[in-house]
Amino acid sequence: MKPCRHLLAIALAACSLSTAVATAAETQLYDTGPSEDASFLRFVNATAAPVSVVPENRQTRMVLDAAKPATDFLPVKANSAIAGAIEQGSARAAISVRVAPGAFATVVVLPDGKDGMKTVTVSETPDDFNGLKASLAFYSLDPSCAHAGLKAAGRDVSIVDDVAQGTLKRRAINPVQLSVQAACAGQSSGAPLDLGQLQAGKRYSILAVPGPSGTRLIRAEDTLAR
Amino acid sequence: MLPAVLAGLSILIIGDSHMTVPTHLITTLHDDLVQQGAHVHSLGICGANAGDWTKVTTGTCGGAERVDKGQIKVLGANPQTTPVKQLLATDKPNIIMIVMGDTMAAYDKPDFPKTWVWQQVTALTSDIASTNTACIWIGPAWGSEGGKFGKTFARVKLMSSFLAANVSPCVYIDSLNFSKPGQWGTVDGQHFTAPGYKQWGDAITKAVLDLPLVQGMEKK
Repeated sequence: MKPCRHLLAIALAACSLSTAVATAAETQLYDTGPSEDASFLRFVNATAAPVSVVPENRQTRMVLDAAKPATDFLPVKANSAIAGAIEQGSARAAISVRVAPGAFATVVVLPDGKDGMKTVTVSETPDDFNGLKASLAFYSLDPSCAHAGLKAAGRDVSIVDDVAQGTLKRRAINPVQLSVQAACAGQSSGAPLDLGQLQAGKRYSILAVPGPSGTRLIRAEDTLAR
Repeated sequence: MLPAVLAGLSILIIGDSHMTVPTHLITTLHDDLVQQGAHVHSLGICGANAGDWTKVTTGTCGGAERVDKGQIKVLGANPQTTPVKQLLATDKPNIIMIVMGDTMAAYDKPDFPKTWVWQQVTALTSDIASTNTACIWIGPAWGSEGGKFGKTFARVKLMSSFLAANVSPCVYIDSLNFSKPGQWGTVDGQHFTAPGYKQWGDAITKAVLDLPLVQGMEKK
């Protein structure tokens, strides 16, 4: 009898399984994600006068001034040439940028000589997304600031240090009230910058750029355009 | 019979294909929560990812809606999402639950699109946060490897870990803790047979009832 009972149990189990399968309707195939990761591009004006960002083949232009020195991160097609120009008075600089999949690129307009300007593009592909921490990036863009770093203002606490020219370093920090100051070769430089209360999940950028009296810090939140 | 511990609470559930077919969570999870005394409004759009719920987006593979003990309303082949802020303004729920993860895991792609997923997730959570509505995010379950979506255990684990770290201020419920990989039978690697959805719905409900967020509401 035992083999028969065993067979019956298998048959009942198979029957039960087939019923379950039959009652579960097949769902149509759909995409479970993009073929290429998202990419973003923003512009920051680090000069003393307003600049206009003029995208190629577009009527619109974005003006960046002291009150609003940075655009949001704009979604762009990865690995495609994004062309346009930066204008300041009668000066005009052509730009062409390609952003890798998953990357956030920042085109920074910097002063060059007495009245000139130049652009530097800095790109990062983050691996630190975390909704429980604040994320702070430090861009080293002042050639006069050797071994550039960022520290908590008024305290000898380094946040990032020794950032090579034209690059950035990013780190996750607790969402606290924070004021920061640039450090050049280990020494405080320029005025402190009060960031206020940092928020968990938010991403921030601090750019160290040439200023009239030493290194100047610019704050830009890494907000995505919607 | 268990006491109706969610009595008086209203819950809005939005989700993907796991909420669109009668054997799916739109029956099992929905019924469990109703049985616990909650008023429940479920809305599923097949294939929808998180960002699709921040604006009107047309789905490509069906949808369904259900309120309390009512019948499931099939929304047709190309239903549209309703922006979450609009849903929350209309329903004014105590809790919004999001059932989503599989639609953003890029199972059939070699690389996990981390930046895109972050964009999608934070777009939705920031819209929800702006309304101060309590939020619970239900992550994907194991499923089985292969099938037409190309699901893998490694990728669903990566997806779940990413969501756990990034859905704040939503509370994350990790569905991978509810079963072993491949334990619940699927029809296509990603969608479960009816017993699987029953177990998933029951496990989610138990986890929801255990949340301090929910227990705090029960005491009010």
